[in-house]
Amino acid sequence: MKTKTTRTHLWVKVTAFYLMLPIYLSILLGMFKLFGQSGEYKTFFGILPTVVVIAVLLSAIFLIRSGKLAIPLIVVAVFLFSAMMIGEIGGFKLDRGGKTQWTIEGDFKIPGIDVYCNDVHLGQTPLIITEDEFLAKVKLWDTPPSQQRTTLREDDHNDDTRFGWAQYMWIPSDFIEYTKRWPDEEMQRPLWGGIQKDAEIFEFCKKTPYWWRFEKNGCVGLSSFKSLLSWGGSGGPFGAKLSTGSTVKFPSLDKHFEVFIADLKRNNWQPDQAWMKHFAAYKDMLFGKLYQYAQKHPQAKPALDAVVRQEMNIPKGELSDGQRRQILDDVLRRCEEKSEFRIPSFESEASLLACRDKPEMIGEYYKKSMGRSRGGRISSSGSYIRYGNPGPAIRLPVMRWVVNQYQPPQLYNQLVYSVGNNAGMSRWFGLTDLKLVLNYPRDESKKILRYYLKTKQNQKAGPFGRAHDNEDIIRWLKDIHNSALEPEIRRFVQDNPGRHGHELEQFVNSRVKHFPKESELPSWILHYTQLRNDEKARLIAKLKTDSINHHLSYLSSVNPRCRDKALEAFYHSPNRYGDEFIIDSYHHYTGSVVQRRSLPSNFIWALAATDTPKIRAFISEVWDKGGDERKKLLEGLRSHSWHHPHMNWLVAKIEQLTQKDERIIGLCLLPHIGTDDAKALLEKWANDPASGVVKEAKWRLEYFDKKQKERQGGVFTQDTIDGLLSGKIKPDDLLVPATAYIWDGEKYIPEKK
Amino acid sequence: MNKSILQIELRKILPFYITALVVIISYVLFWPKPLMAGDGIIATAGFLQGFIITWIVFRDAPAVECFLFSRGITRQRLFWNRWWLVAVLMILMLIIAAAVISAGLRCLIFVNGPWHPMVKWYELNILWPLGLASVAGVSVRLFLLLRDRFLKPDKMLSTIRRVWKYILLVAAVGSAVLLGRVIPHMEIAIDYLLIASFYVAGLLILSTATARSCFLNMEIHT
Repeated sequence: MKTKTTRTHLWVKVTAFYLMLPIYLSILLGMFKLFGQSGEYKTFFGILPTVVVIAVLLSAIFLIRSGKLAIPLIVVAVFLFSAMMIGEIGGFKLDRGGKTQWTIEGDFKIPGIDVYCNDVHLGQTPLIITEDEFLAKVKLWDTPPSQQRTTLREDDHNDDTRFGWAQYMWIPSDFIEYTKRWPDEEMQRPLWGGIQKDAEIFEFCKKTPYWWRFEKNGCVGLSSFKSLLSWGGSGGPFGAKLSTGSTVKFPSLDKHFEVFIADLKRNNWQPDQAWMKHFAAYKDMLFGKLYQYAQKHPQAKPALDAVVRQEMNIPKGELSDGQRRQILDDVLRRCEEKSEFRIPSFESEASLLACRDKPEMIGEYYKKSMGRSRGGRISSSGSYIRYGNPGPAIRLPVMRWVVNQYQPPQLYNQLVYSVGNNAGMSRWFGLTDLKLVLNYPRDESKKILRYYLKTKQNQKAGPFGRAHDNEDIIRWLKDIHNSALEPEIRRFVQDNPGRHGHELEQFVNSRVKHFPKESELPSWILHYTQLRNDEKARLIAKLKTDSINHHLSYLSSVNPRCRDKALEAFYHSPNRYGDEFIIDSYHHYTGSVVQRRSLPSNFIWALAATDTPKIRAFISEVWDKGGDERKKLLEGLRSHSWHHPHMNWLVAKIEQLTQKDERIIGLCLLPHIGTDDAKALLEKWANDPASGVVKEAKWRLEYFDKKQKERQGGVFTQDTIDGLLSGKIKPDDLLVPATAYIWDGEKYIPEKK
Repeated sequence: MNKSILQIELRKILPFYITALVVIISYVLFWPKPLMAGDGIIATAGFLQGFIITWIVFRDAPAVECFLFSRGITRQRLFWNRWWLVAVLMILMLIIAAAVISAGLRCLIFVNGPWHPMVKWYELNILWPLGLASVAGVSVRLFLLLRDRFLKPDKMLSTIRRVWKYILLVAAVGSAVLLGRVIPHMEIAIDYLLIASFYVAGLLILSTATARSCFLNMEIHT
């Protein structure tokens, strides 16, 4: 009997311990979280608390075995509480012990940029480095370095790369000073907050011992390090994690790409060996540019296809099933190795190439990749997206991308199941699957969307509902482009517009992009969105439907600024559907109510950019009226810079002008038109004394040739193209050399040679 | 099972069980938000249901206790009879909840017409918190009740000890919830339902074994 009761006592103790196991585990996890991260608790600061925790736990177990349950738990609770207080409240005040970890993200579109600090190569972006490691590698610089400095005007490069009135090759930034700031408000202050004047910047340079430089393939990148994206705990014992989203821009990249594309055009869009070799050498820099270019210019798509095949070792011609699988496996392996998947990238394009017209294969790979993803990061900039999931979990974003592009019908039910089974309505992963489901052109999608919106509404109204839920939903809805769901989606957005206009503007922009020809969209934007009127006008002006004229005229009557915005939009992206509005604007500007001495720039640019029969008839009508009206229009067209060969039909009309002053204005239009006919007329008048404008025609002819050279890439001679492709000319050599500056102890001054 | 004993047990438990059933099924039917695996309300309700049912089934007034233990039925059999009764009641609750959801009754209440099957199967996720919390409630109560009866047969526990015991219990449940939230976000990707299932299964086995041992060895006081 005694043995039996002893056994019962043992059962009781074991069960009591098991029951309390979650408490001990959470204490243990809390300690590890506070005092160290994986790989770090071997250090002194990490091992000490770990030993203490284990000791406390062992003593707790011992005391529990001896029947005393309460004492160890009180000790552990007090210990945990005090540790949390020290870590969370006082942590940043204490010495961080070199545990601060910095992440330098670099440029979103170009991976692997070399990062130098004080001429020491620290690694490539995204660079992760701890303070200890940084201090061991980098020696302080007493004085700012001599360097190239480009002086800027106010409107030049109004981006992150400017420091006051200049761009610098070496960028001053002291993260260590930043991490020592205290209290919190100081840490919120950006590194470069408010510094704009050169004198202040020189003062900052004088104090900064760390100078950074970015480089990729020998090209210098400019950045600012103006602020840190985020900072926070979990960087180790009393440490912090800091990351900078500093954008790196390469000044030579645009010209480099122009030369690169000029060579492709020269070869009739067929990439040759030298071109491919050059691309391989600069692939990270040029891929994004080429991808964007190919979206707008389909002639460049074969070249894009060729570089993807070269990079991914894909044979030319039709692919067999085995080859397709091999390619997709390669893509997934590469993404796994990098733990990231970018869109666009070689991998994203190769995955599409492999899966084209193979819905069964997509379904099979998607199912295999499901269930592997729990966690991961997604970041985006414009149309660029980057997924960062560790190891095999990266497979799912890759396959989601493919599924969204091809929408294999076999996978629909599987996706619906996965949404339902993945706590889909609340979690990010489920929501991503839900987007895939809703983008399928299926009837069921309506019910699913209705359910989702209802769910979100209920959640919002519930005890944990957040005020900014509407913004989240709108941001999420903008990625669904299923015309069957549009009424439902738009009804939700018009009823729940969100507090800030930003998400709504993004949403409407996405509708404009994906449903430009829908006749009801202008009316919806006008009547049901809570955007500013000029924003509405700008967005409506992008649509490709006749009704925009009516809506834009109405908006302009309410607010004159809308007219300007709409015309500006027509100038940036010509829209033949807006011709009536442009003509209406002419009458508005020349009418009795608004008498303007000259026609506004946006009107002239929009007029010149739009080529429709109505516009031609309108210009002809004004032209034929003669007198002041024609003069005003000609003056307007002359005094603004534009280039539209479609205006070639005006050459005949210019030729018919008889008065000298009108001919002089007409001459000015010919370089803008820039066609052979325009040049022929210039030559004719330049060589014909009877024209009365010989001198002006000769001068304009010179200007015509200069402009034509520029437009045809005249700055890039054949030697330049060949030199770049052969490697004799480096991309940075294409830039106008920046002035070298030296530090005179107080400021940067131009170096005297 | 001995019919008369079963009748006694049922008479004890049915009023509470029917009340709990009505409350839980009403929640399942009428709760306007989606039912999901992370439903704290149903988890709490499930836990309380398991806790109270076990307490009602296994608790005997001293006079009844003495009567019961003097019958022909062995302690072993009595323990398992009661254990299975609780198990059946728990399972029945789960079956009814599952039937209500999969019959699409919620869909009829909230939308005019059946919802997409996805929604229906998705909402079956609520069976996880209901089932796991009920089992946890049963296990905890089983363990505490019979442990107390085994260790302290002749005197009431002091108020401090009793309060302390429940503080610990709340801390344990809170920590389990905390772990459920922390572990899925750690580097190792584990589903917290999986962890909870293993933990609760272990808890049920250990508490049953302990309670059985206590039940067989406790002294009866008249």
